[in-house]
Amino acid sequence: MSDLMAPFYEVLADRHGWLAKYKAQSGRRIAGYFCDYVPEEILYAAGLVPVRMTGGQGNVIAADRYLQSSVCSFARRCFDQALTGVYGYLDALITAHGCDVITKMYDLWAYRMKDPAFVHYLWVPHKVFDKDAPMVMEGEVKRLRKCVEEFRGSPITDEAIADAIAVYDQSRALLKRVYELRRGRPPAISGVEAFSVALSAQLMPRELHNQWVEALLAEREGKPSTLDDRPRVIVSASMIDDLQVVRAIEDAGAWVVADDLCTGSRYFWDQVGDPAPNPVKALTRRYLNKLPCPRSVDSLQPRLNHIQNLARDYSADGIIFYILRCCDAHLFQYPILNQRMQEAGLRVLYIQGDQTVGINEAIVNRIKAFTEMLVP
Amino acid sequence: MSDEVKDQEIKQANRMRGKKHLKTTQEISQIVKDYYTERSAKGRAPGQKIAWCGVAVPKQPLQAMDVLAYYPEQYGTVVATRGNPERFLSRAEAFGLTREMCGYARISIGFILEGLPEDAPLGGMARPDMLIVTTAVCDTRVKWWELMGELLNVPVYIMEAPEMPPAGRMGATISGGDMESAGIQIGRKDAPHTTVFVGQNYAGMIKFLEKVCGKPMDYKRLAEISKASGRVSKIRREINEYRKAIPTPMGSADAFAAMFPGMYMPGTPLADDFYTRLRTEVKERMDRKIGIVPEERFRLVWSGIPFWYNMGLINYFEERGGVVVIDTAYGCAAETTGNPRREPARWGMNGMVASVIKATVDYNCDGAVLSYTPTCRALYINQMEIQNTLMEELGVPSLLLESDMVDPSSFNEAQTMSRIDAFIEVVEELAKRREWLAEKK
Repeated sequence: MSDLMAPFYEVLADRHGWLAKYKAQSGRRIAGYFCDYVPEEILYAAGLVPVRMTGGQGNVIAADRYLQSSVCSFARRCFDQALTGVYGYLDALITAHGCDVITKMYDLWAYRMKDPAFVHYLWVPHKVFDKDAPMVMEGEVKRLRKCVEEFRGSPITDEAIADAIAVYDQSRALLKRVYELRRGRPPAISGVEAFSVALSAQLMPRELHNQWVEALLAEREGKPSTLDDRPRVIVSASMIDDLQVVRAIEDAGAWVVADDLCTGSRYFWDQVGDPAPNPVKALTRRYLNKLPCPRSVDSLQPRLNHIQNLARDYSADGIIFYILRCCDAHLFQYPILNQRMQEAGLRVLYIQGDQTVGINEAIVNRIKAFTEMLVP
Repeated sequence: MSDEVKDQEIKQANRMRGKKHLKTTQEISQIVKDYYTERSAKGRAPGQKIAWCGVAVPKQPLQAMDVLAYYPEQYGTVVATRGNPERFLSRAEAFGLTREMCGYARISIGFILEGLPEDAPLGGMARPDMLIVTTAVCDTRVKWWELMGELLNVPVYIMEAPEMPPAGRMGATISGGDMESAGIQIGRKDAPHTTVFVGQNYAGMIKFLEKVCGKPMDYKRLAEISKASGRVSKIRREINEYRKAIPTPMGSADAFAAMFPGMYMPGTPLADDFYTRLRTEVKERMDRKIGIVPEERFRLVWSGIPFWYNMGLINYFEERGGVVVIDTAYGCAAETTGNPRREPARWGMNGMVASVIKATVDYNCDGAVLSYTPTCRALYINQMEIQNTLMEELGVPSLLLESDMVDPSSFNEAQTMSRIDAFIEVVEELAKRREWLAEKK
């Protein structure tokens, strides 16, 4: 059964090598992007392969000249890799107004990096649910479209955007079905497997990924689980861009049955839907109304609702918050979120994340102790 | 405690208190005190509406609506300079706000969690009817204000002001006007919708005020106040113009204090009177070539937020024969701009970086002190680029000093002083050359 998971693991094991190879074979250009508020469909419609920027875990040396050690470890790791040539295959980069750090990183990328050839900044309103937000967001989506058109030297048609929306909406529906395999007790797929599928979607051409997921679902859906029963947890994090955290939790004896991640459920939960009559307006609507990042205004209630629905639908016993050091949007929302989770009867574990440290022994021990507490 | 230890502690406390050199700026302490006294008296009056606002929220509409405004960031500095910040910092930490987070935010949240105590420094901030903040400056404040709204159960207005990086890849261009807003550039020509959005949000703020106050905006009064605050800005630009003189007639030890009326009560007769008198004093000192130190051996620019609990740090440079001439975080526009003998090839990656490079040029500085507040996301990512750009473009050395702005536990004095001493040696040597001065002194 695990063979159908192999391609996803292969991408995750060496995402940069895989993409460089894919680029050489296909001739397609690669566009990196920060933040799930970037409407990838525009890039995809332009023939680019949109891929999420990730930092992974490890030391930072080259980026020390530009970003001090107290700066967000995700940002430092991404920039460090870029400086050491790991991202040399990128043709384009889109940064979004996700947070102060990623916003100001635009300048560093634009200024200090020779490649990629095209660097673009997308402003995203904080007040995503405000009545005036669609005007400014649509303006930004249109500006992105125009700049990408100039970069590639030809227009992006509405039809191409509508086609991209269809591919991405299909992906979103497929990923949701993969996640739903974990509703049962025991789950029909592990957290590592489910998250591998979701994360790899963001690192490779989507139409190919969709094929792989369809094959996996054909094998798993409707079949009895082969897994054992374990305590069930939800992971909520500011950023998880590799398998380490989920794997550490599952190695400790729990199943990760759902997540509140911008690289997980928040990334794909909401569809664009019918692109007619104006696909740009449809995209604007989707990206403003999707499950919000805590950086957005009035995001607390939708996040609470989402986590509580997940806890109910996926029978979760506890929640693990993995929040990167210095990630203000999450850190300011956490105290209230924590209170509400406890009131709702969920057990909570808070872990301070740092991508230059990774998952160390101390964290493993805390996860183990938490997991043992969840055993009925 | 032995007398010797006690003596040491008193010496240290005195050293940490900033020393102001001008006569007019000595009044600031009383002005701040009166400001809070007046607020506590008025705040209890029936029907008086109170707002807690973020710095950079337009003040004129508040003044026109007779809203009594408090500024939690400013109050953070009050607690740091006049009280015991630890009382509120530890309360916030117990709630779940860790020491890696903004010190201003932790003080105000701690103050709320303590139940808005009246025995807080200067009587504390009175309970607000509303909270207002802008997204300019940093994103952190959006979450901080939302959290305060949640804890105080009052309406929050968030005024969006899209900060845009410069178009293209060569970094910022910066005008004299941009120096007024610390180089923060809102909106962009190729993104006109962002500018429209600013207008919508300004209108939204006025609507919000009208709703909470239950009365319409008096636009005639708003225009008068805007005019008055425009006049205050102009006087402040004139004062800054004089600060370019060598020796400088006023440095940042005075300027950090003197910014208060301009920042928090810009359209008032008090501000007008204060800056008019300050301008006279600064001009007189300039004409008579009275500097801050007997012989001004080097000139520095201060980038970022000062360490409010240790304003004496700025005076330390004076003991060593130099002056922190100008600071950029709260705006430092002057009347004229530029120095053709010292034009850099580029100004830096964004307006905030560029404003420091420009201040170095405009105010004839030999070095820069970069206050590196690791708890401040908006500033901490720029400081290394300021350091890199200053060196690459102007050959100007800079010193990164690390500490939170209001949390003294984050400051290492002995280490800081020895780094300052080493830095001064380098700067003093460079200051002897100054090829970019039209006439050598």
